[in-house]
Amino acid sequence: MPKQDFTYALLRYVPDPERMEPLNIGVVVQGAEGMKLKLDSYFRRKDVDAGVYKRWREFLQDEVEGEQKSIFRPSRESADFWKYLRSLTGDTVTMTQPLKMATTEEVALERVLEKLYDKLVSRKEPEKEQNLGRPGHPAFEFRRIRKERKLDSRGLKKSHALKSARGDYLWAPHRVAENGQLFAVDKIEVDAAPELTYREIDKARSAASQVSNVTSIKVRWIVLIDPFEDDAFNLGASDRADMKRAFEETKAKVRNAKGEILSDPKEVSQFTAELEHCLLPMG
Amino acid sequence: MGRGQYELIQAPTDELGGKSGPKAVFTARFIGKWDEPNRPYNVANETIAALIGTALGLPVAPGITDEIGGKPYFLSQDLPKPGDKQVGPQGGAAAVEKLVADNRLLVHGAIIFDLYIANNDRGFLPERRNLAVNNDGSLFLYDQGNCCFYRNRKTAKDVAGVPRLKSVEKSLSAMFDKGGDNFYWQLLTDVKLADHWFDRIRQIPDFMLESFVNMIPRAVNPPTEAERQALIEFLKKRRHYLRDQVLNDKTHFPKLGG
Repeated sequence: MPKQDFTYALLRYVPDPERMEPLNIGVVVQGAEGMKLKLDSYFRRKDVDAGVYKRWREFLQDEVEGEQKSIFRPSRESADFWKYLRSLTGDTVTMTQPLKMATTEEVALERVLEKLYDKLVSRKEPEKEQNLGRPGHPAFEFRRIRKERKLDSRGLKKSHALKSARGDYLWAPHRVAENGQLFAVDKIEVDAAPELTYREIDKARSAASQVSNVTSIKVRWIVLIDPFEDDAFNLGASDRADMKRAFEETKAKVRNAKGEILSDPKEVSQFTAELEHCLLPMG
Repeated sequence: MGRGQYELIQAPTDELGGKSGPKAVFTARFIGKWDEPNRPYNVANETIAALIGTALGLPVAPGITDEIGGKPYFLSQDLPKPGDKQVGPQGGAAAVEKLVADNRLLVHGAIIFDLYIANNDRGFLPERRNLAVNNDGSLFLYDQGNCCFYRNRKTAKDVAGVPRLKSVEKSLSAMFDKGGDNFYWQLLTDVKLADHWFDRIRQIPDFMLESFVNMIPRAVNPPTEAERQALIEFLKKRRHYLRDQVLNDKTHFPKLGG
């Protein structure tokens, strides 16, 4: 079996150097294809300085994924790059020593990144998934129908990465169905921790740019967007306004990318009925 | 020039009627360094380097010496404000590239300064060491603990103190005992720019070097009195022969020309 080696490091944010309690915020992975970073984009906590976090995010994105050509930066394929990056982190953002991992089958760098991120950084707790959401909201209804109609065991895929015709990773939607027609389903769900909703917003935005830029695959992209309700999040007025703005901006991006927004349970019901035609029969 | 930041802890008032002009009280943050068996000259090295660097007009971290709990420290001013718990990143590769392109004279100055004080562990790659690019794009030099008397390194058979002064005086190659390519030295490319700093170093008066060495706290020993005198002589002599040593060293400065 082919073997692939990867090197990765965990990025941590230390809100208070006296307490020394780091929060896992991202992962950097290096493989034969280069280097990739996944960072919690909307890291919202009362003890995290949003301005400082934003500067770190931009800095790390530029160093890891920005333009490579610089005589002041080691090649991203080299072991020296880790030394370089570590020397630029410090008290507030720390990076672990680079760690090794290997896969026994061919896996895209992006998938390794996603898996490591989910394992090491993501604060999502899948076992509590059924407790999230509000009845009557699109994301909740989609989950309910998915379970009632056993869609996941009938071919509705989770953690399935979409790729371009050239094989480049695009994004991993919430659910994917493929049987003659390719369906990609994402969601932006409220009544969860704000950082989870922000992560879904981030993912939808990223997907929107992929859908807009890549014409080599034909995908019907559905985004379930819960209505924004003022009592949905335990947020201050300013943060709530930011969240609301993020909702509206994301909706616009989805529409621009010709994505279909479902915001009503009836629409969800109609869509899942259509989706079932692509899946294996019940039973 | 990017220096440390300060936190105002008192509103400007002068109850004496403003005779001494407006004033306020600030706090700043310092990083303390001290001597230990393998680094018996840390405080001395840091002290002399900060003074010479400042005298040359280079953006060296301001430092003071003091005894805390009976132990002598060199205290180097840190960049963040005292109350800042979270600090943003320094400039990345793009910022360094711009800094080096826009400030060639300054970069030559930093290198010649390091060669003068025989400081060998500043660098850009693979690790960024002992220099920072501030948010305003300016350069900041800090941590010169490896200069002059250096430190004991058994693996490289380096002996700190006067033996180190003698070995780097004899040959510039003695400075490069850490091995590996340090890209930093390759940025020394222009003899005219280098000469600007060689001239400046040559003009440092004798009395100033004597005063600087005298400012190494008496509470630290080593350096002994004899070692202090040796350091003064080393610095005085080095002002005059350093240029020839550097220009004749094509191994470590392959890009230095015209």
